[in-house]
Amino acid sequence: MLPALALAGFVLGFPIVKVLQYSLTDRTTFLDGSFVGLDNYSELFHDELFWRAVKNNLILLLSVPLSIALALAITGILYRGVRGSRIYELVIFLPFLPAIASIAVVFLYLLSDGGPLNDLLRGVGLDGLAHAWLREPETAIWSILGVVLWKRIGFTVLLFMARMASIDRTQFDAAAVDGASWARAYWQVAVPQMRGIIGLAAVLGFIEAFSWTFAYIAILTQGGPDRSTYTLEYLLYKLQFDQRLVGLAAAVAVLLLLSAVVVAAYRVFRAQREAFA
Amino acid sequence: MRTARRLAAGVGEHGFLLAVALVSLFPLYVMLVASFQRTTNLSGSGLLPTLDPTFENYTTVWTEFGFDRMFVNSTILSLSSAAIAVLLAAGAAYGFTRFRFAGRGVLLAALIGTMAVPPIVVIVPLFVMMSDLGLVNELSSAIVVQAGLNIPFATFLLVTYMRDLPNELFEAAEVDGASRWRQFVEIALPMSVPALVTTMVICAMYAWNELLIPLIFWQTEQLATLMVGLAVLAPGRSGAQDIPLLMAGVTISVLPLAVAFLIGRKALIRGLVEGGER
Repeated sequence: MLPALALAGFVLGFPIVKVLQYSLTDRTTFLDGSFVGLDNYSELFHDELFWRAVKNNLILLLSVPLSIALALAITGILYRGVRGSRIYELVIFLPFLPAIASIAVVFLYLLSDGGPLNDLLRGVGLDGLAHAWLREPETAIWSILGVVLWKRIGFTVLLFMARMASIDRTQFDAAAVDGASWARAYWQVAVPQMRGIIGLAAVLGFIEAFSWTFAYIAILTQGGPDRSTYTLEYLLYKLQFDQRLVGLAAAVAVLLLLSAVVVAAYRVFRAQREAFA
Repeated sequence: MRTARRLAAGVGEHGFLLAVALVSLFPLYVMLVASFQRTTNLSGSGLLPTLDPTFENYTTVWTEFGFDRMFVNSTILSLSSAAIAVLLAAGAAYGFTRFRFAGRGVLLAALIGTMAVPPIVVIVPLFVMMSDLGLVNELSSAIVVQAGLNIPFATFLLVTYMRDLPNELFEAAEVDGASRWRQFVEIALPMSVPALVTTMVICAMYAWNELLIPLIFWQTEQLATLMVGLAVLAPGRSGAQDIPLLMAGVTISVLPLAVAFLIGRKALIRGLVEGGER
């Protein structure tokens, strides 16, 4: 087990310490830089672009409640077993498979001004709804949210269905005999038992909203139009690799790391509550 | 009255599922349709399949746009990083499940906790370090980083599996005087083959899909992976002309995943769900 821990420490542990250290210097790629205290952080907090990135991350975080609500509805219907349930389950899972980068390239075309989505809208007479989705500041970040959501739902349904498989079906029959409708039985009997897996879906979605936005942004908008779709990850990338301001990039990294701390804290909180419940 | 209402509800449910399914399929459908269109022919909507399909886009991106080389690079990155991650993680999982030692719980929790760390956070210092070592644009850099980032996930998945291996086997081997190494190689590994394969496939999928790591550590054209190639091609020349080519390229990048999924759907889904429950 030592080699595994050594490599994990080398790739994960050591850099985290390093990044904390860098964030207190004015280091660039080629120069070691000197200690500047918290200057990088105060520069970030006074930078409008930083706050826009934070706001965009929070907008993408909306994919968490939205995907959970939709997936709960889908799971309920699938579990009840309408005709073709298995096919639906398979089809709904498909978006999870391709890489974010692959799918982003498809959406870049799909959402372009003369692209298929606008063709579809114009085709059914909804010309007013057609947009250059990714090129207008008002729609760009929301379009990205749509793509994130599109990719997330299948996996969330997969998690929920796996949990449903271990729920005792007779409970539903009992509730249905009581005259409660199936939807109510699902809501009152199954959903409370799914609390754990819903929490898990929330954690994974949270991680994604802070850790996996880079490929979406880099391909769909490159931060544009007018730098309106920067996320923290993309800002970090630009600072590090375009401007070579390693110290400042490291400060963004430390703040991003806070998202991981939130997840860890949530886990500890859950573990404790389960231990004392 | 009652049946009418039930019928209406049934239709509503079906309609909802159908809508979700159509939305799920639409982008993939559009991708396939465009990939068979003649480049000169992409006029009007990309909504209906062309009556005059061509396979030329696939051969063009494959031979003229370097997708053959990118495909090889993606394969190298995903298979080698997955193999390293799974081998090392198997050793770690064996240690975590077979031995009690001080700080075991904390160590495992810390390792699993790092799964929530955004990769880009550690990439800043890793890039600086790899530059110092002169390893940027060497095969090893992206492979090592990718393997390292997959270790926590792989370890976790294998721990959940190896925990359930029967203890008696190891005890019997212990009595026979088998060393820990031999117990690992001759008992733990062979008995974990299904889990090892699943873990390896999932790690390989993650590596195949990775954009950031190869983009940063493999910056030369010679080392570009499919994801890097797509990212570079996409926004630059996004004139309508290149769309069929681009979509053929995307389809190529998705195909191996589709094949892996078709072959091992059940095991994959179980692994993904368990891996999710970290």
